[in-house]
Amino acid sequence: MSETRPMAGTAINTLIKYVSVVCFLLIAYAVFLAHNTPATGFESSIYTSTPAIFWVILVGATIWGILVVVQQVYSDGFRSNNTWMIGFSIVFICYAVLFSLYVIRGYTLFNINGDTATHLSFIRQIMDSGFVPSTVIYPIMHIFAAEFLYISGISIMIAYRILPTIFYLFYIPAFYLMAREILPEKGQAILATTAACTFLTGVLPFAMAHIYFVPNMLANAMLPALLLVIIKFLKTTGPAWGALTFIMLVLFPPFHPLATIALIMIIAGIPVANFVYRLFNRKFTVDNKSLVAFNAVIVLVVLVWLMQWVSFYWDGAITSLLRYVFYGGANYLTLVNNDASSASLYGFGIEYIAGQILKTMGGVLLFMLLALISLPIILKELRQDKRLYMLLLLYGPIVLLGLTMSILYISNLSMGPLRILEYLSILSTIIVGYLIYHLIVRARGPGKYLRKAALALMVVLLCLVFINGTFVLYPTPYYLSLNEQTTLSEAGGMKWILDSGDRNTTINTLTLAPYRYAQFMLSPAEVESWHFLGVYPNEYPEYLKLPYHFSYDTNESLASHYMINMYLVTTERDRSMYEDIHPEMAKYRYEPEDFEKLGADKGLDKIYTNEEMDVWRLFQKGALPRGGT
Amino acid sequence: MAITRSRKVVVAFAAMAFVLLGALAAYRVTDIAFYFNLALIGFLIVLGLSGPFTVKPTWRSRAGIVIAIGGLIFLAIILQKISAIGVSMT
Repeated sequence: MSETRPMAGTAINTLIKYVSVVCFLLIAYAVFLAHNTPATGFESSIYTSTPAIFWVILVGATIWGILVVVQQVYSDGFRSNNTWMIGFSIVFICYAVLFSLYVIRGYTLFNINGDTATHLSFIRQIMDSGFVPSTVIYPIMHIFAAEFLYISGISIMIAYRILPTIFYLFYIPAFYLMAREILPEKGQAILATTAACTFLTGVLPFAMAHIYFVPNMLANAMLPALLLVIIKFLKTTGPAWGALTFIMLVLFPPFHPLATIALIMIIAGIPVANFVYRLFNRKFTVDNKSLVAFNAVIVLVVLVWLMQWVSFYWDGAITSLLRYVFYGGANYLTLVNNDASSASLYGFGIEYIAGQILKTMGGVLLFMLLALISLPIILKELRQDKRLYMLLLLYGPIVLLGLTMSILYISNLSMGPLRILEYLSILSTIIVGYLIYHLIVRARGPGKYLRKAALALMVVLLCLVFINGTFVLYPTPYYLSLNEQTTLSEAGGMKWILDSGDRNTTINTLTLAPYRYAQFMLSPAEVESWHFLGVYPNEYPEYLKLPYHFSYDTNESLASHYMINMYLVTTERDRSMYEDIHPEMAKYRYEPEDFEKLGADKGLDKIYTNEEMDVWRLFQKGALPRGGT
Repeated sequence: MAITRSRKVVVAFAAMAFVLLGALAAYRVTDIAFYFNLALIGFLIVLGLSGPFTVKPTWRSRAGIVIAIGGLIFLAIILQKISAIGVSMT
């Protein structure tokens, strides 16, 4: 019997190699297929526009990769050979391909309607003047990007699309090394790193944001590397890790305040957990005290430096907080209630909201649940294996971050509470790696069918989290989000109006953000000259907002609704919003016929058109119609 | 006579504080709170790099008093800024 086991192991390893070769070939084929199906216009969803076979191959290959990793850990093969690396490589390559899919599919511009445009504007200003604009409170990403562009010679238009991918490719090995420092077994770190490829880090309230070129996401990608360096610094005696630690600590607050707050929570949460555990277990001794004790030096460096950076803009935040404390007002919980009430008015009940939560945050919530389930197991195992102590102490930061989230819900700081989930996902993933390993160890050997079933269930859950993560990575109608693709037609149309339009006339749109395009295309002085009344049109004053159905249900002309002249911009994106994303809302807001009626509206003059965008000049009621002088 | 580790920390901090002062003067920054914050960060970094945290010689425990005082002054600066904002609101 003992002689047949290695033979069986060899046969399985050979099978793994043959199937994996096929997987690699299929992944290459899928990438070519995606590349040869470039975007030719606005796509409501990258998922439906990419050939279905691409998704079948990527998802199938990743599931195979996960199975290989689990099998290798189950058979203990990872200790004697590197076959697990084949499975992990497949998962990692699929992760990289999915991350860069919009580049492979030829999206020339991405998220120009969002924060990315603003950050690109900052980078351009740094490159033009050599100075950081005074309005940037976290300039590290912009300085880094400007240096990257100078050194590499790559165009900014290419660099901003590949940098998030580069950061998130770096995230995985950094995560592995960090997990190796926290988890006692290599197998646990391998499983945790495999779980880290499930796209949970960029989770935002009802959206995912890894793929955007924004400081928060890039800082999140650097967090495991920073934690690794800090752990190494606290464990070792030489100054090398210390120098690296302080360089990174000084750079982190101006990278992003939220990631820095999470870092402080993690550094401060570990000694809190240590204190609480040892309060109830006074005989427990710790081998490396500096790793678990409160480190005032590190916390103060980060805290003082963070406060120094945010003090440039914290007046607004402090004012609103003081106003809330002394005079009351709406907090985040109130806002959530209001949103839920508004949704229920249109027939979207609790089941609809729960569905959205599961789609976008289900993976993180599941990982957090698994982390909770793991707590009694870790406490029990800790009696035999003291090496698990660092893992146990992770619950300190998890509780602190959870408390922070609760405080944000009952306050009115300008930060969404659910943004904390990004950091809870990173910490939970480490614990999930431990839990899977624990189930594997307990399921080893003949019989133990219940334990094997539990392990199988865990692997299925991991695959489901990956599949769900894949299908919410990009904005899609699946979770009612509009694609962030910016087409050349949209950019061309916006350039035309920003270059040749009358700057005293408001640009009104349904879904486009003219302010972002202006930041992307114009100099800061030119942006100022446009007098935008808000970043997005829904922030405009009520009297300027576009009426539902363009008011054609009550008026013959949209112009009758307004008392000022303006530009009206309509795009494929607007139509898609009510045809693909919210078709059930079209009858309340904008139906396809409403867009057709614009062409026959005598109060409007079409002054520009291309494949995807129309620009109209709207004459206020009583103003001269077209042809007038 | 060999220079002790604690003296090296003091010399390094003093050098850093003077360089900082010179740099801020060059940029015409006259905010004392800003200087204090940077000096405190500099002191902490010098202290962090002075040796492993596992080793705790006597002089390092005394440095804890300096950190505590620095932390309190930092807290006072924060409270003063918050109260200034509060006063401007009323």
